Amino acid sequence: MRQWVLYGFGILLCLAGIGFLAGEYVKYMSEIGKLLALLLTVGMFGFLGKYFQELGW
Amino acid sequence: MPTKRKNLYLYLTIVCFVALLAIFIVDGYLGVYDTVYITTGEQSWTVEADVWQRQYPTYAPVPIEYAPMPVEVGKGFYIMSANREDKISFRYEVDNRLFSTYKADIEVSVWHGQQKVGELIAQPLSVSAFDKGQLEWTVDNTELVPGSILPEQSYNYTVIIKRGEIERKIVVSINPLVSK
Repeated sequence: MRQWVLYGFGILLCLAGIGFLAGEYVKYMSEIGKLLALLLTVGMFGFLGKYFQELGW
Repeated sequence: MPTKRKNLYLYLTIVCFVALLAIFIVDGYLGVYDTVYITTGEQSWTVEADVWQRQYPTYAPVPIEYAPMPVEVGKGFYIMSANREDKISFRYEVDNRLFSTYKADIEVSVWHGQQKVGELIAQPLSVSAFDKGQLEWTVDNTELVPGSILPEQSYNYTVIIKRGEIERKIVVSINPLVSK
């Protein structure tokens, strides 16, 4: 059980780090770049959700 | 059939991720970037394009007691020192990484306090796609520093480069002469 908590904690830290770096980078992007990145992010998570749905999660 | 569809969603996820990374790289590369090359005496400095994006001034060289004051995003400026008898050569380079020709009016002026001391350049600049354009000028400190400023006193002036609506600032701090 304890190892799963540690895994979860590690994954959360990784996601927070990636989110922070992406946020810093996005500040300097052009408006059209921001829009495309947003659409692709939505698409990516949408397809990932569908993939897990097909897996039966 | 469900396995095929399942894999299709996975492939689409990967495609979106790769496209996202590609946009980050391409968007970072495309744009108009300006760099200033400064030469005075035996020294030369390069003011890279990212200096203007910083939220603090950039010093050349960095002072020993460095406490940066915060500035707005895109309002970063450069601070350099020079001697009273120096002639400072500036080369302003505009790197156009766009698919169209970039045109802008360039105005370079020298300011002290809130007063314009002189105008150095006022001319249009046109840079074709994925090409570089440049302008050069020289500032002679002996002509710029007023006679009322004693050699033991320091003096600051700002070179302001206006490219259309965008403004770049380089603060030149003239060192006081130290009597031996």
